[in-house]
Amino acid sequence: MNGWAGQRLRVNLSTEEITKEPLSYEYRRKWLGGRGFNSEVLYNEMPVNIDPFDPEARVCIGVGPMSGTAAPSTGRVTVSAKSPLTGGHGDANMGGHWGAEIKYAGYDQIIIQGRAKKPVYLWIDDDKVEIRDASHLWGKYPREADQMIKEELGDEDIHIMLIGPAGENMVRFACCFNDVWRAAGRTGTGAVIGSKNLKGIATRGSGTVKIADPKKMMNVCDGLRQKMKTDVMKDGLYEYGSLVLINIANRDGWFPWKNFQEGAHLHADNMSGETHAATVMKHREGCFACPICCGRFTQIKEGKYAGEEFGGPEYEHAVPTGPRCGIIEDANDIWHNCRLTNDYGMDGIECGGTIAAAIEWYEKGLITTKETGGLELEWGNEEVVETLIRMIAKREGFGDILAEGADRAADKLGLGDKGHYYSITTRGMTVPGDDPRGLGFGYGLSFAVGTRGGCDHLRSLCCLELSGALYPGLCTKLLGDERANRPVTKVGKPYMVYYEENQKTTTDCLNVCCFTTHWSYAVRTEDQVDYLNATTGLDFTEEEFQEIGERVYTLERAYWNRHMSGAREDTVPERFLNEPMPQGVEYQTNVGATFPLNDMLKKYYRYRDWDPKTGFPSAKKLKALGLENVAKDLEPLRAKYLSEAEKKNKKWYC
Amino acid sequence: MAVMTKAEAKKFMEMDDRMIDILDFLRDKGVFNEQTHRKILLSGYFRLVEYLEKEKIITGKQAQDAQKNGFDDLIYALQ
Repeated sequence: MNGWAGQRLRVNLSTEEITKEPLSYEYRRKWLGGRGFNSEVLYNEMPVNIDPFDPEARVCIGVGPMSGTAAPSTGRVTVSAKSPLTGGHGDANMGGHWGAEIKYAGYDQIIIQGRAKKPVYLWIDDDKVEIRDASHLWGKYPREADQMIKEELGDEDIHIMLIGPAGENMVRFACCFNDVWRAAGRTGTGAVIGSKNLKGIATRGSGTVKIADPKKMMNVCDGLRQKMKTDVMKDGLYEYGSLVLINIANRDGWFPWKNFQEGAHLHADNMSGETHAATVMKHREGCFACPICCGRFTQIKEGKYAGEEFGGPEYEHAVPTGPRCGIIEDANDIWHNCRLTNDYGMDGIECGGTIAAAIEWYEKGLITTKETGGLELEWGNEEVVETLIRMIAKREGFGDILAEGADRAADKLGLGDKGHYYSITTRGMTVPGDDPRGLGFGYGLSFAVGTRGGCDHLRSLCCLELSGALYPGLCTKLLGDERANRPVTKVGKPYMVYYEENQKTTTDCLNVCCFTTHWSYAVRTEDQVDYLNATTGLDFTEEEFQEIGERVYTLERAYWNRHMSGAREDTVPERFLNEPMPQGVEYQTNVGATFPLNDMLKKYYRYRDWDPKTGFPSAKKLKALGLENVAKDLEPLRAKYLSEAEKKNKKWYC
Repeated sequence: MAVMTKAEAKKFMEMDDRMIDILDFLRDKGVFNEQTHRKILLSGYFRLVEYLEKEKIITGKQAQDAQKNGFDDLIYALQ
């Protein structure tokens, strides 16, 4: 078989049953791979109201037909589960080399179900699959466990996915890693893995990916690598990683200072990519087949954390436990917090976002030292933030409440709507460090309708309004209006979000890194169709490529709809709607901006063919996408969503 | 070929986001069917211009301008 391995591996940890299931041509063509395969399983295999920590809940790990090939940046792997944080559809993807290794071992997808009686890890050595004891690994940081497993199996070159102590403790935003520090950060998949007593999955693959037309494939890939070499976005990413965004965010007013109270700070450069590269960057590390090499390794050289080392950070990892909590003066504090969340195995965005919400609850008098166990939660207090990170990971004291995530913590503390106002979430997930009042109205719209909660991070990625202006003519070509590349405007944004979401979803099904396709626009849809066809020998068209994205996205939307989450929940944190952006620095460009969600939302629904009252996809649309069973599922729920009882039941999460 | 009135064109020119409205309008006018509407929506604006040129709704020169300058030129060509 060309492109795909053609089978999935299913492991039931309760019964220790291990099975391999073929994936039919029709199935592969419909769902493509990675996120598509995973979303299909989450929707169709689990009862609607299953607890994410129920043994029968699934964890799906998916790679795509391009994984393991020479196409640029094909190192991603998608991890999906019902999110214990939001209660809805959850997934995240990560770079590294594990994705290619899964493919070389002969699998397109791994499904984990059941719960082991004691801690275990999975050892996949091509077609030999073992469940092994992990009692000695429980409680270890991923970097420790990674080394121990490699020594145990006598192979330094294997690739391993692991959770940290936070996952073992089922912190609702625990994440998982591969190659020690490549994180699938969002939605709490690490907690679900931990709930199954699974520490990780070690993988060794000795196979290859069959390519239908190797000559064409090499020509396409050579051409794309040449394009990447001269691409306008590549150098910034290579030199400074995603931290290159710090100074840009500060200039354009979307730097999340103090939980988005402001959008810029005079000292933001303390933690910029430029400063990081000049002070603490140890070396760069790229993912599988990546011509960009944006990954970096940090070594703190001065102060009380001198000598600490870790992989990263990324922009989205650094800002939540830094400026979002009011920390900016000493960047070493921020790097240290990143190291800590890595070691414990937590989503840095949710962890920092939840701590920032708690600081603001404290500032506004909603909680006191009585609730915090004596901690005085003040902006910019590194000692407090560091203490809270540790307490959350271990579920100790006030940390046990925050380990539930910002919205659930607000409810546990009985803070009501005021508490939720400062939790800065959509559908139960804190938004990443991107303020739509500055980054762009397309980003904001994508928060409101996102199928894993309020998150653009490596998700919808409306980068046409971030970097579109660097590719003159691109917005005109795709959207018919060059003005759409301006962030703080409504022009062309509903269509931009529709287009980019579909495109990005299919890119996630291929498990190709979006930094080649949505940050840099060196690799376009037509290029992706070229390498997909050269690899598989099939005849995908651009329309079919985009339609697969729409199908997967719509299925994920229906996952939420089944939980009575629809139009009422399509919103963003009220701060973005109500509070005009204050002036943080003299050169800030978006002073006074608010985010006009409601002007764009209904138009967006028309693109998606969603009912404006419920926000549910129409039956016609579902059938057109080959989702007849979903149309049947949703039919009785439409009236229920509009019932008086449901209207009163405002959902911050499911 | 004129497929919209000046008043209709003015309405489209004033919109912030026009793709779905113009596609719906052209479908309702019989310029293309539902299937073409869907294909263009999935692929992007450039496919709309390509289609209109192929069907001789707009000339080659108009198509060139519409590809370069976007909806403003296309709407001008369609009135």
